Amino acid sequence: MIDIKDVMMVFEKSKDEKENFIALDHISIEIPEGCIYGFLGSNGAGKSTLMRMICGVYPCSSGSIKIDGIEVYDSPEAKGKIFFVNDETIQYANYTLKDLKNYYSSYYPEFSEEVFDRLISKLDLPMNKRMSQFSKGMKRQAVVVAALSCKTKYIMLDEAFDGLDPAMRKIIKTMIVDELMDRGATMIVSSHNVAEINELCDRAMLIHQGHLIFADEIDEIKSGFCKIQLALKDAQMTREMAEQTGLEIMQFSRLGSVAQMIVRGSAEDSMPRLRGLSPVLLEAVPLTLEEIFIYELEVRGYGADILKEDK
Amino acid sequence: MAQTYLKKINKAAAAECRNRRKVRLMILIITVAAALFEASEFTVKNYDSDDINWILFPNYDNFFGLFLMFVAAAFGAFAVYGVFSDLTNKQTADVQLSLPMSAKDRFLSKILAVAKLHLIPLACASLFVLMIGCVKGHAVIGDTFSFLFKIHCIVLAEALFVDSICIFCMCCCGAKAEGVYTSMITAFCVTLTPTLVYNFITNNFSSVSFSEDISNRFLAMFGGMIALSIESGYDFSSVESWVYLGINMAASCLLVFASFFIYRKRDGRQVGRPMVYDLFMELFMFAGLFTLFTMFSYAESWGIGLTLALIIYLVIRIVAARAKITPKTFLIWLLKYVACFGIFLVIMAAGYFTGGFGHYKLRMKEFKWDNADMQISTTQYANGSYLQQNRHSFHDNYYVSGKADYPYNDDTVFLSGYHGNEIKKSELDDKLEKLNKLIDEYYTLENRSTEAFLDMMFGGVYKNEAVPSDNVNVYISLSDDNTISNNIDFGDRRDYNVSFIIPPDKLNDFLKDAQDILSDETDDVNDRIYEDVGSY
Repeated sequence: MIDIKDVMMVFEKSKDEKENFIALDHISIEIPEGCIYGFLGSNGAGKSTLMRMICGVYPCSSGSIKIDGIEVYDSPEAKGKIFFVNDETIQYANYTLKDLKNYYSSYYPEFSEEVFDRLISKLDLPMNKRMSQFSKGMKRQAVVVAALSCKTKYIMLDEAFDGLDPAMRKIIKTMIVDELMDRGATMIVSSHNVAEINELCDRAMLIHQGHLIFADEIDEIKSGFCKIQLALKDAQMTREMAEQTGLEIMQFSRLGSVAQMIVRGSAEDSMPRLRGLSPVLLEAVPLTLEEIFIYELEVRGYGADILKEDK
Repeated sequence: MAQTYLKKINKAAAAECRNRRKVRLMILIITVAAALFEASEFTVKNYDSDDINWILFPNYDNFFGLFLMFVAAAFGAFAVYGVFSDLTNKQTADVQLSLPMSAKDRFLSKILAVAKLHLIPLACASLFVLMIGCVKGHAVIGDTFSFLFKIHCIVLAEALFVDSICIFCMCCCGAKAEGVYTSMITAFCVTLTPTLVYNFITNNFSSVSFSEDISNRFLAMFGGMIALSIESGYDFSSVESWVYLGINMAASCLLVFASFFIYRKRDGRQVGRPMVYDLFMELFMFAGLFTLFTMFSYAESWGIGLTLALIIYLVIRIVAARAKITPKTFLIWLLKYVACFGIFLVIMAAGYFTGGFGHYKLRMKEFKWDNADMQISTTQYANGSYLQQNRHSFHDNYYVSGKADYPYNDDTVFLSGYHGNEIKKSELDDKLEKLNKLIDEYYTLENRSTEAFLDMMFGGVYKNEAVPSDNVNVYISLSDDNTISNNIDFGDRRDYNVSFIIPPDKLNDFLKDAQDILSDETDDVNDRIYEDVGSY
């Protein structure tokens, strides 16, 4: 299990900045073994920073990150259990796949040449060609193959699928899932594609401007929000009326006499409260993770200024 | 356990080396070429000697091979910049810092990688040249082996110096550009500054020159001046020079050791930041400015010097800042520049008021050879003019008769009556003692003033002593050489000279004391004042 407890990350101010930059503010999550965990967040929210802290690239300013009970920073033992694939592949430009294999086999004692060779031949990647001559998808495939071959208990992929075409995404995802499921490993993946996280992950968390908004199983997250459509017989439904019923309204809009609201809470809890208003129309629609993402960030003012200007 | 650990470090170092194939190839090509050229360029000659009938001594027909060796030593910079790229490249840092290694393991593996890429090929090339030396010359007898061995230790020490400076600067910088230029400038400063300061202080503030003064050899301890550990003359087995060489190498190792603590403190956050440590930046700028100021001390034009130093200083500051530059920042930079110049002047003033940090006390303690020459001259300037002067000089030249203590053995007896000016060794020693007492008495630092210091600093190098218009310049020179025995080919002449100023009211006393020691050879017995004698 990866135990992230009350973690803060503060980047000290440079000479032209007035104050320190808090990249992560008291984040606490637990990543259990054998799951696929999605990191969601706006641009610059702190996803990559958190990933770098989990794999020991950055130390925690405060709090602790433990992998199977061992503090990860500067610990070869803890770091040996996790493999980090960052969002760039430029560092491997001069490598051939053979070099890549030799490189990682020097560091990870569990490295499996059999897995590496099998996956490479499955993906039909050229073994002796420099990776600078590879397409973006091929580079990604190669790094993911290296990651899987290291046979670590945890694999972290930072925006690993972004910029790939749908077919390539599917190939890589299938390859990862097949390999990981076989040995009960854990995958942590960050992406801007919420639908993809929705489809791939068991659990997810959302951070915005360094603050944790939620972290739970995806089904639980989804059940915590609902979209309700409602129409009253003689009056127009207002946001105030809905809030007076005790609901937490995240977004409210109206089209004619039909009001639509995003409510924080399950449909089972919310519907009985609204029935008291004797609506002629009352129905709850489940929310997708993408909608939750957008509404949660909208509530926090993310992109609000831009949207206003557009209007 | 330890074996597993070493295996792990070795594997990681091997992985680093595999990633630096181009650098490895470059270094290998240069070292192989250097070794082949050097091995073919030296020949071994026989020299006759009294003690040993034949000395096998290498003679270089051409220095291209040796030059290439030093080029290969300098190429270590490329190996270091590549191997330590995790400190300056975010993507590499992401990969390397997430590998299952601690900072200590990573550092050790990188040091081993640098050794494999750079030092080991160079050591192998040196070994090859030594083996050729043994074949061409003789492995035991003669100087061939010891000479080549020492030369190649120097090459390795240079390589170690280059590597250590580059590692240190890379550890203190978060951007590659800064790592490169700071290491080049720091190496330049470490190498040159002690030599420049030493020469300036001894030439200008002490005014004592002695051919046997070996204190400049300590400069071999600093950076690229290691070659100074081969002293003049041909005594290559000198323990002293090995000590300097050892200290130089130890200093480089110490720098690598210090870099380890800096490396261990670094993490991914500082990658990309030009200067990770402000203290390093300030020390680097100070070292650079100190070197420039010392260089400009030799020239007369301080206006150009200070402006040039300021421009270089500001350019580096601007390049390293990478951020918005405000008037306040700019003002702080200027104040720091002024502070650096102030510190420089304080150090130089300390050198001036202590007679070159005590160097003015250096004396010739004894005459070693049979021919001793002693001379004292005084020049009194009238109204500060070089053209109106009054000179006195005293001069004696002696040949030692009887048994000399050194370097000859007791059986050596000099030919009696060979020279007109024969003197016993004990009498000569007495004269020398009196002469040294005379210097002690009259060469004091009492007449040194701030005004004279500033005049010397900003008046140019050619005025060894600032001469107030009413003072007397004294010049004393001593020398001995070997004229009778021709057995020894080298080290057979030593020169000592000192110049200082005495007040005019002490001139008569001085002349009287000088006359008691040496014969009067007054240039102008009438004490005539020379006036406008034209070009002088």
